[in-house]
Amino acid sequence: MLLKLNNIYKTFGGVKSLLGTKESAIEAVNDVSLTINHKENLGLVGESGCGKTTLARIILKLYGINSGQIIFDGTDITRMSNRKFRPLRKSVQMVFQDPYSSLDPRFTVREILKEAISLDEVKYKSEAEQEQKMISLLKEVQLSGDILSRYPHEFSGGERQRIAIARALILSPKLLILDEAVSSLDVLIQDQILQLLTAIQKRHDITYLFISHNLKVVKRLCHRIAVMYKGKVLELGSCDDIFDNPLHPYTQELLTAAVEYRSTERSTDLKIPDKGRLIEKTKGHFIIEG
Amino acid sequence: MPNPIVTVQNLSVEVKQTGAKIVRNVSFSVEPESVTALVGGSGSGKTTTGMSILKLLSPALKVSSGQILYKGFNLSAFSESKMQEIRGREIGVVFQEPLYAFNPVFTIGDQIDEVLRFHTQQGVIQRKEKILHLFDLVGLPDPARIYMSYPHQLSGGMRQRAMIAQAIAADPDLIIADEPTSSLDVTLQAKIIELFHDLRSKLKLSIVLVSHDLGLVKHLSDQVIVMKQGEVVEAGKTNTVIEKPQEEYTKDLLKAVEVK
Repeated sequence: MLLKLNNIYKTFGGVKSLLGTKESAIEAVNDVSLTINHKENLGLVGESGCGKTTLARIILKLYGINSGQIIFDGTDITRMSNRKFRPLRKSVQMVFQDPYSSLDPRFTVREILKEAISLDEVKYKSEAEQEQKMISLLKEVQLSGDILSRYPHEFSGGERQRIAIARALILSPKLLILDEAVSSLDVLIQDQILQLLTAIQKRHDITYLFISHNLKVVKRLCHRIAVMYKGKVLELGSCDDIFDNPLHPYTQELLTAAVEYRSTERSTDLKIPDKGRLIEKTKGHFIIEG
Repeated sequence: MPNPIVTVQNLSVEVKQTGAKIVRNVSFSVEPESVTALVGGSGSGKTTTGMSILKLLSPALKVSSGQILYKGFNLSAFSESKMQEIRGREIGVVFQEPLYAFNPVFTIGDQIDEVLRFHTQQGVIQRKEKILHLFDLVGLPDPARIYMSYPHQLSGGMRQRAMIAQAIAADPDLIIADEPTSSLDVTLQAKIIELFHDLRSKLKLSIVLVSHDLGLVKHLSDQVIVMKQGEVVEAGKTNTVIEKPQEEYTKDLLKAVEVK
């Protein structure tokens, strides 16, 4: 097991003011438990504001949590200090949605990659050796080595996302979090990036956590899918479970929207049981029940 | 057969400085009350083609040959001030990213009011009534509150609806929608597509839809123009193109949005 999240709970706001009035807190992640197995990609799906990015940031320990437990690669990292966590953080890398803002416009590709290389435990003997490492990484993401002295603005969106992936791969992470990593690209480039990620996984010991609002895209890369809504995981199952036999009305709604481009008229508001637990319906296929 | 609203004839657009052709010999026409989709990957010239109809090309580009007829009139003969009368009044536009398309320091109501002030003779009360009615039409809840809201106070889906309200405010005959759903998540995307459907029949609109997603286009358009590197590679009725694509490129575009 690579990552285990136990009953993660995270709220924003809700601070008591001087006069004792309390503004109500937003429950961004509400009692979420998930596991990611080694080399078993998990897709995290839901609409904007459902808490999927918050969860990613919790895994990276960029946000603290109110309660719960995070176990990464056998180590409990929940209360670990930043200093202790730093060596482990190399094993979890992230690729962001917008490659226009995730790459520093004043850095050349060489400088962007070098920054990550300088954190590597492997000490490179010479500049030439580092250069070699960078070129081989660019080759990995199907870019040519002679782009090293160019700046981000000289590249298309797809190429930029490849550079971001190359940077994330430098420290040989065990878990790569892709937060809407293809959403800003056109469908053809999306396809190329997804194929690239599959190819990388064949060569490296890497697992993906793929965050997206589009079930169709998630299906291409992931083995299992978790559907999130208002901070809770409503349904969890294999791709086939979710696509062929979606149990929760919200999953059905997402599926209709992604596949048929139709919205669903909700007869009643989605009732999310506050104390709901994921119940296993068939093997490996869970749905929330209160 | 009624006269087409827009006819694009052998349109070519090039970069002024280098002479590089962005759009090459593109021809198509838009029938009244129909939806035409311009489809292709990034850099295929689909947005440039769409924006040429509004004469909103970047200053670095120019139309090098061909012409665009709007209701039979040659657009190239129109002055900039004449074009200003056409934009909004005759041809509305919906951009991809509604956050950037609105001015952050004015309320939504104010910005739509500007369209009506410019294009119509209506008084203050009439205009406000019209705007509240527009909000209702595009499915925005609590129109009075939206009117007073600033762009950042609305969610992405609501901003997109507000922009559509702005585009149809002066009752244009044609809407150019450039990737109107690309910045939205799938559930909102489906709702916006349905809104376009609805508006089209209610307001007898023609729509030019620019998109990279053939799956989406399938659900909204009557004809499809597939573009690659500035050229039209395939064009025809939507059903025909989707069911029997002839070109490899079209097949690739279709394959990319299939459920595997």
